[in-house]
Amino acid sequence: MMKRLILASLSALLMTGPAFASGERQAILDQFSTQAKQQDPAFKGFSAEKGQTMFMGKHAGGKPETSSCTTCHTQDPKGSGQTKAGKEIKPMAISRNPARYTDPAEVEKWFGRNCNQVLGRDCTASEKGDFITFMIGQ
Amino acid sequence: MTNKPIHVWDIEIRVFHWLLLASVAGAWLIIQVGPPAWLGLHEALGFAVGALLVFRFFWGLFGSEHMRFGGFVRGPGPMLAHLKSLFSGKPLRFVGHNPVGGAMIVALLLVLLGVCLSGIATMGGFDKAGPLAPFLTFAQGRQAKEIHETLTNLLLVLAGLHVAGVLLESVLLKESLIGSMIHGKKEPHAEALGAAGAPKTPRSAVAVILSSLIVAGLGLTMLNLSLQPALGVPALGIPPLYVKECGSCHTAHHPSLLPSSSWKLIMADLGDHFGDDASLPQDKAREIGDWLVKGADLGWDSKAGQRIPASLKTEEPLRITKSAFWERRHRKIPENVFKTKLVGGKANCQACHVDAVRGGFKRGGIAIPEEIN
Repeated sequence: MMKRLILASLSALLMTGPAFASGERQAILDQFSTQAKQQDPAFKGFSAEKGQTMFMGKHAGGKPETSSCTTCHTQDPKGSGQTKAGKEIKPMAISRNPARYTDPAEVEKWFGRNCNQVLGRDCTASEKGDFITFMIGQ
Repeated sequence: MTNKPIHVWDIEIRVFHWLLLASVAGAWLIIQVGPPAWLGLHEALGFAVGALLVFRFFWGLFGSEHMRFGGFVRGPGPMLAHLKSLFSGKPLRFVGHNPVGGAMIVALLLVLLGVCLSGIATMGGFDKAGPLAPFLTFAQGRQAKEIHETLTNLLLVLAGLHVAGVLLESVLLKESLIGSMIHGKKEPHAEALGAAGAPKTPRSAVAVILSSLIVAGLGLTMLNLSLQPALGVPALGIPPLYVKECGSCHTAHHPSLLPSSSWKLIMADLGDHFGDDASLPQDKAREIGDWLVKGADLGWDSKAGQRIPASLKTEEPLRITKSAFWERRHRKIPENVFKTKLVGGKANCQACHVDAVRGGFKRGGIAIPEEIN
């Protein structure tokens, strides 16, 4: 009985971390979803394929030396990337880095910087949602 | 009169002699060909030379007759007489040091003492480390470094003359002086001149106890002093916000590396941060900017804090890596080192400088990372 109790509480403890993180991530996604509906009444939901295309694709309009996300993040979202100044970038894939997309301020900061850097403009709410949805599946 | 070899050099002086040679040669070689991170070993050998010199001083007062200063330090008269005898074809023979050789011993010991002291001063002022770090400015450390290098060159010349003298006397008198310094013995010669007025029995215990006490006392004092804060290097804490926001893309550069005027310019335009978008919310940017300006204005007497802001190019007031000092110090690093995965760029100071975030950049903390295959 005691053993079971301990096991149960241990597994509950282990579960709360990721579960908590996924709740925060969902809140961010919900907010993007609301914004996307406001921006485009035809919005139906986020698409991981669109997110993948955005992540892998080459873009015009931004800085020529950083024409795609993969310039720094590499083709593999599960692997580490490297900044232009040499620092390691932790994996983007949720399976490798469950803390991703759980802090709204961080999400805003990095989409703000990097969309401007790569696309030369702000990303739309649906683009951000597609991107995160792609990473959740990785 | 028998032909039994006589003991001239006691075990103490022979061990001293070869330990001294090994320490000095090792310290010199490390600087000439060793990796920069071995500076610590150079310094350790330097302190060992200092300890040996303390022993030699007391052995010169209490050692065997030929090792006592009173036994081999002669005036110019005997030195001239000895030199003349070399050219006359009938060189004078001495049991211990000859008068010119004795003068050379004194010169070598004094120059070595100067090398040790100027080395500790270099360490203190230039690298802000060791027992003199609380007392010396960076400018004084640079002067000490020049003196250290000049005295080392002088030492090399004297050591060359010392060896030449040993070889010359070995040939002229047909005996191996180098061998004598290994086994301590010389062939007896009736005409050989002894030591001047020194008693024959060494007082080993006195010499050993006194030199141990002095070395231990000096060592503890120096250790204690080297734990004191260095002069002109404030103990500035690095705020986590700065490490998080700036340190996620590049080394969180220490405020001492740029003048506050440059930091203000950098923080005023994060949207175009050396060509990249590094925008931050206004409150965070202001907090970081204020800290950088205050930090820079503390004034830094460290090597990087003195040399980088002072040597920035007027057309590139924001680029640490374009300062004349940075360029000169990295001129021997091949370009492709900066492109390796482990370094990644010139702004990744901490890839090679273990103390970059603290603004130290000590020579002993440099290691270029290598790929493990």
